[in-house]
Amino acid sequence: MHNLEQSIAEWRKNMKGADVEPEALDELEGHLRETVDQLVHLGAPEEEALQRAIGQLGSPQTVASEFEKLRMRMWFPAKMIVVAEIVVTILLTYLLMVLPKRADGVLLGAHVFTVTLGYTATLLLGFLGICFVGQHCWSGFSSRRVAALSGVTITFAGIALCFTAAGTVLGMIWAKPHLGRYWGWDAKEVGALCVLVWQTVFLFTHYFRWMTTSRLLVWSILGGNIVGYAWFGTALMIRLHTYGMPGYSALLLMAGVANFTFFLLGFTPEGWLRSHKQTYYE
Amino acid sequence: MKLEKEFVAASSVPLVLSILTEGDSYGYAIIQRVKELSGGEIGWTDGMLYPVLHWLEDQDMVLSRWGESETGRKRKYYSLKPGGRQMLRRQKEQWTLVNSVLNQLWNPQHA
Repeated sequence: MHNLEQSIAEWRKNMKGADVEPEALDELEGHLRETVDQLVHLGAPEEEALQRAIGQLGSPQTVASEFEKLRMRMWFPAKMIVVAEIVVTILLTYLLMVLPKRADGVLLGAHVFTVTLGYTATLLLGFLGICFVGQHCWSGFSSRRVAALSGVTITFAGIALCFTAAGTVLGMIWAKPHLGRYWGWDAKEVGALCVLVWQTVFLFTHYFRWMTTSRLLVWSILGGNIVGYAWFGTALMIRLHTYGMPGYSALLLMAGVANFTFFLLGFTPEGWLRSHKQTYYE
Repeated sequence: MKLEKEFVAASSVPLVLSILTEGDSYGYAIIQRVKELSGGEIGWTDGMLYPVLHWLEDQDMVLSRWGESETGRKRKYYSLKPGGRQMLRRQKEQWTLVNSVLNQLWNPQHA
């Protein structure tokens, strides 16, 4: 006797083998069952109805190839931050190789390398958040696109935390013989601690889904402000180095205000700029 | 008469968007509606509709949500978003223009 459930399980297996996503598969299965019900209602035997329904739906390869076309697109700003992080990594590696080496410089170099990558990842995540808010004000995002962005966000949050934590530990090891202590609560160290706390909270919030990806992307903008303080703001305070721009405090302040403005815009209704224009023209 | 592949592809977006202006719907019902309106002449391969629906969702034109049928079966419902209405308006203008030009060419007495 024909077993419908077993046959549908077999069909699902074939579809899954062709790389159709589970959610799309659930939707297709719903469709298949509706078609079978309808054909049986019209008098077809169940086995024949299923074969006809499968035929109408298309072969696993054909359906999968159509879905594959959708998967290839990645949001442009997300591509940009991936490329930027790779470029920074290559640049730092090159600088470490060409700069004159001292015996104690290896540890310091490793510290600079890892902290820079960790801070850069947080800044880039903040940039992604700004782009997200920009589009949010204009048109909004589909749930599928947000789900795709979730993968990029959690990867960057993970990279940021791992590198910053490693860099902080390396800095502490370097500080003991050179400064006489592991930790001294100076402005840069407090800044690094703030960044680490931020990155940890962000990653855990993401991992345990305490907040939606859309909301997290808005909050990621504040991460940019924290890194801005830890990286450039503290350098102004302790006069360690000013990154070639002695008077950049006003610039830093403006960047902080602009960042915060974008953060606040993230809480406005989706597409509010577009709906205003529509009312005007219609 | 069976529509050619290119026609099916080009008409799928305006057809789906137009059906969704009638109210929220789901894949199976959309296909049935197309068959009903075309008297069975437009026969999509059922599986081809879903990538179109997902593409429309990616483009922020439709919104999806999981719901339940009367029998308790899981169903994914789609509804039109403002972006979809804009797209439909543009498509309507373009299809109407093409239709008008072809009508004039094929029936010159009405031009």
